[in-house]
Amino acid sequence: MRNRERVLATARHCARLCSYAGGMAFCVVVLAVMAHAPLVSAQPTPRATCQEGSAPEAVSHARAAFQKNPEQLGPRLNLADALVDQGCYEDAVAVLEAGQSMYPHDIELSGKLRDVRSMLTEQTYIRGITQAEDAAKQQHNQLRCAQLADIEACNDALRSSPNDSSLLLAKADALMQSGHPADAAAVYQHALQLNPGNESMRAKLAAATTRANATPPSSEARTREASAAAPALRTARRSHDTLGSGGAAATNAPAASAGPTLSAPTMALNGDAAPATGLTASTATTSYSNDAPAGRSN
Amino acid sequence: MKTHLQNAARLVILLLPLLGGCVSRPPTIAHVHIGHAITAVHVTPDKQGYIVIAQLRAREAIEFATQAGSGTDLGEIKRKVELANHATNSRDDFGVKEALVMAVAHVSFAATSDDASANVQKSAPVFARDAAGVVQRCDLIELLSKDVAASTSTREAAVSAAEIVKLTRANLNGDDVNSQDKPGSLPTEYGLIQLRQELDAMIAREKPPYVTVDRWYLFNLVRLPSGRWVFDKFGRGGNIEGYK
Repeated sequence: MRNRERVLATARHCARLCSYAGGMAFCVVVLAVMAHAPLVSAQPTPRATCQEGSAPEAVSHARAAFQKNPEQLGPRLNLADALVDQGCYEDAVAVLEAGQSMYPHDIELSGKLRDVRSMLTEQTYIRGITQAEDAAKQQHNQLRCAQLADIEACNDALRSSPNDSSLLLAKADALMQSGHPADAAAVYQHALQLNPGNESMRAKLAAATTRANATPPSSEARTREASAAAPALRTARRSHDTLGSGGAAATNAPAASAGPTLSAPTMALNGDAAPATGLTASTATTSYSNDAPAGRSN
Repeated sequence: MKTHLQNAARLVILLLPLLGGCVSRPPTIAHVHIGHAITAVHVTPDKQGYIVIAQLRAREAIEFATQAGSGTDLGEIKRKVELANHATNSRDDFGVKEALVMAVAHVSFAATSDDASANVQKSAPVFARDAAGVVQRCDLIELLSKDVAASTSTREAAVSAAEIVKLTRANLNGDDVNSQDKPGSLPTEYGLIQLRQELDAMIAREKPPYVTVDRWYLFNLVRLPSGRWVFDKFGRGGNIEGYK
């Protein structure tokens, strides 16, 4: 969706720049590539992924025809077209460049080569933009996990980097802080497996285990209650966790009333500083919201 | 009479080389596209080049973010962060991201022009790649701004605002990820200052040399249906309908 908006925005600028030309050919090429760009990283469509050995029928036929007559220009151009249709711009450029030595003055070949090079540049560019967007989201989750003890953000970040020990540590700290020592112990254990020599983690694991064992069983019901409220709160948080809708619009977002529990980073990193709410998690895989557990106020 | 004509002819012949020097040649199409990135383009405020606008907006963003970072009132922090985000991510007002993306696009246009030098063709994708770091920071600023807008406590807003301050500064001056070198020493750490330097270095390598493109050329470059770029000799300012 975001990329579609970008296409429209670029269309607007492109139109401003090119409308005076009457001919929108260049913009059309740019926008056509941009319109397909979201597919490059978002969905594994044939056009998005140009994988060796899995060429569609059209490419296979065009390649076979070309290999029969490698000296002729027609089959070469057809192969390039088939490759372009599949988003294989790099391969198409290589096919056309190889033909340039044989047909250095052919206008159709040189024009097609220029166009495909342009598509390739745009594809690379859009890929970079999309990667930047994904990386920003990951960084955002990491920040919220480490600095705001936002467990949902920790979970999102760990989906991309499941063995990131600093993220695991931040999540375990956040769980301790929100009164889930049993879950925290499981996460500390995972982090410790990745860093067996880390004595600080070992100490935190011991503290979490001790607290989990001391937790009254009666609190499990309260924990389940808190977990049941999680989906609604997760939805609230996600309502503003997207790019492109404008920062100002979020000012009055309903999420304002469901903001995450805050904690100073020093608290999040100190398992012993977690409030002794007496809550415990029923399972290590329970999904938690970023709100305070029952019995605590935001 | 004949002598006068002969003298006049001799004078013309003698002056021809000098007159030739007075006739300015139009810039290459590639250089005009580069000019849109660094000098002027008719769609931006004050018709400034895209990278120039990006730098101006980055300075505005730093100013607003710094005010937010030192704020103690939740409402004030929200207002300043919103302004910082606007300077960074506004599309209509050419925020940092939009202006930079357009600069990248125009350098790419330059690279695909028929008269682009090998230097420009090689430099354009590098510039596009190196600009991604700034784009990523802009995206993160947008996400954090939404966090601030949804904050219910000053403390939570202050945490995000402090990050926004760092990001806006990095967008202009470059980042120092390892805290060991100076900011912007690696391409992944680049801010707008380093990106501008990269463009300047590309221009310095041009042969024949790049000369600042006259605004008439910058504002009257048009593309024909055939795909060929030409200058609109009627100087219609780049907003012509039905031009064939």
